[in-house]
Amino acid sequence: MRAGRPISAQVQSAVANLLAELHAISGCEKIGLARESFAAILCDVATKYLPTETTEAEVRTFLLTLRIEELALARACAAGHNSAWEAFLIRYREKLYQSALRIAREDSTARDLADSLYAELYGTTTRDGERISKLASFTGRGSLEGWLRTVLAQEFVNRYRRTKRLVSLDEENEDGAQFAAPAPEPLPSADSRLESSTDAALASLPSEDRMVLAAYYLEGRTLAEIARMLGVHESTISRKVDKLAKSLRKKILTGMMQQGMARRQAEEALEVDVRDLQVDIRRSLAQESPPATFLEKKEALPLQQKVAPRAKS
Amino acid sequence: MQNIPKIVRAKLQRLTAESHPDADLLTAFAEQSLAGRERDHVVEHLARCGDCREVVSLALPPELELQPLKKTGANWFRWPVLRWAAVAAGVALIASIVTMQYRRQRPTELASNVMQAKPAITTPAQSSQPASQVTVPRTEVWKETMAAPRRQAVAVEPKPAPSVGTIFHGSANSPNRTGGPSAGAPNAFGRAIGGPIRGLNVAPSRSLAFAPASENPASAATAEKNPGPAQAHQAVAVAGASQMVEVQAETAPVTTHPVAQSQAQEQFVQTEPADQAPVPADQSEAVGKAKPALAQGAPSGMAPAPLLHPGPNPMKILAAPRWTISASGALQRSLDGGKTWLDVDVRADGSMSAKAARDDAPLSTKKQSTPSVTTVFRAVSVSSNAIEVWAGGSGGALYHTVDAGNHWARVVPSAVGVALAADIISIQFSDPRNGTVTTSNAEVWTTADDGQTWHKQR
Repeated sequence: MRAGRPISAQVQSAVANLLAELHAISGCEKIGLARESFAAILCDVATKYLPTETTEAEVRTFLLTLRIEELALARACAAGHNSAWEAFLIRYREKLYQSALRIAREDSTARDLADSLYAELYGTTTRDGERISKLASFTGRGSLEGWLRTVLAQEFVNRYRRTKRLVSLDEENEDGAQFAAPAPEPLPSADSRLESSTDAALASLPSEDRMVLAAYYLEGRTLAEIARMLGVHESTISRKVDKLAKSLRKKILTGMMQQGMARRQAEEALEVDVRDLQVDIRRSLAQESPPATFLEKKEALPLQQKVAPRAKS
Repeated sequence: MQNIPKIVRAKLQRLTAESHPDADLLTAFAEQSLAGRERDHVVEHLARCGDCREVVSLALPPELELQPLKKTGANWFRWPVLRWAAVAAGVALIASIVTMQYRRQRPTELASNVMQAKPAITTPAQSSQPASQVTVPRTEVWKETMAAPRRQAVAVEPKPAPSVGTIFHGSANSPNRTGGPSAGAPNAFGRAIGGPIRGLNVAPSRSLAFAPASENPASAATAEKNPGPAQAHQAVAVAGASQMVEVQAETAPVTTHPVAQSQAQEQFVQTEPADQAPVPADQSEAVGKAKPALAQGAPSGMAPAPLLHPGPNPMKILAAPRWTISASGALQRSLDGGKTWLDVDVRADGSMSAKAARDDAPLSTKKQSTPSVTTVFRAVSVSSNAIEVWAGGSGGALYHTVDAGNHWARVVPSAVGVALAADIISIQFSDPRNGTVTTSNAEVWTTADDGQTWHKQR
């Protein structure tokens, strides 16, 4: 299946011990997957995600978290078993198109997306005479239905991001300054103490907080959306955003003062920064993604994507 | 919400990430199947990578939107045969609303009732498939109320009969909360109602016979116990097809306040004797007058004027409601995007506590016997559209709303004779149907049918 790290003894042992149990749940026989193949798949998956030092007990626990039945189905499909493919179609074909529609929000794009993924799943691309199916990479960490949605979303993001980028570059040539403004780069006048203090303040935040900040302020996602992404209540995110906005400012100010700036000086440095936000509206609009309609969002997103790498250079 | 300094924004934008997590990991993350270091790693990546955030967001499992009034219209209204059925539906609607409201008082049945009632009731709002859907499930109600509200049925006549407008208007005012339905083919419905209703107009002698002759609404008013409403009724009666339909549309929303509804009914009975033919009046005026008039007339000893109170008209709510629990454990709702928050009183069935002006009616018999202790909420779970909400707190208090908090149902999870009575500390609904409630004494209760049945896990 997957040429990777050598399979450790613990993994092999854990798989062997659990095999009977897992094989029973998997429904392998119905879809034509051989027991040995199934065992090999389990070993591969465990090896992929677990570091070599993992104990057998941990491997066992890990294996029990997998979606065994869906894993077997996916891999059986990838291996070309027709009965498996039939079962897959019955259960997932409709969902595939529905999910594509929800993601693309527009009929023709959705169908395009779904069709191309469908082809990839079936494995029309051949390499060395073998049919390669995308389902071969499914590992059962998440549900198959969710995995299909994720893959669709990835394809969607890749696609329109790629095209959009081209468009943006072209537009940039015409519009000049508007797109060329290196927004992510701090203003030349930005105090180095302000910068370092901001860096430190951000770094001190747990990753979840930074994710919330980015999602809320950069992409304009709703609190509800962010909450769903993180699996918490909307009110939690609401409180978090409020707290963060306030505490960030405080932290940055404190950081600057610790570096020797007087309070007023620090506040001014930050104020100048904020003022700029209002003055340079055009630039702000180009970068910020306010809660926008889908189409607007489509255009806004790639701008950030495009600018970020450029800023690095 | 406060903004962040621009430099912070700039810094966030500059974050880069390499080695995106594979689709399996992202899926597992979105489904909350990751834990510990693995999850941290993914979150860290998501903090830096906008693309992957987009992917996770797009790949989230679909939330079933509660859209009570979404059915698209059909054209069968144009069939004369079905108009009659539509009329019957209209009357049954009113009757069933009343009956349903009484039933709603019992919390245990609430969930199922609301759910059933909602689709059943809301359909008539659409000029699409009302009759068949409403009358069938509600036939018994229809029959039992047939006798009394005969006149009300008659009142459904649009042009000639005054009460038509009144009935609908009356009921329209009460359920002034839930989102207005999109009146599909209003005029068709209106006309449809008008026609066949005449057929019903058999017995009810004097009043609501479709006497086109216009009479002085004033006299009707004076003879009326509550002059205000009567006049309003008369005035409203004028409502022609379109007007009535507009009103009709307002009626549709499921969540009508019980008392207000019954009150509307009662008022009709009261206005019976005084009822006269409609008086041509400006339709908009009529409605305008009727509304406040009804509002005044409503609480003749009964409570739910709050609904008639010019509270937040559900049709005007544009932003998705937001929910939170205050520091003191009160459940709060914001309808303006977070600028203002109002405490939500889950026990006052159907009224916004903030404006529960007349919510002190002796409805103890109708309302569920609520303890005098106010619930301290500790957990709230909001659906993606913020319309369906579960809130839980002290003493096993678990409340559920499917209409953005205008009406609440107390839900008492119980399984095998054991009920949930401990403090609820967490509510998690992964989708509208499946949810988990955790209590302070480590009980875990789950439901897979949106709270109708529960299973105690530990």
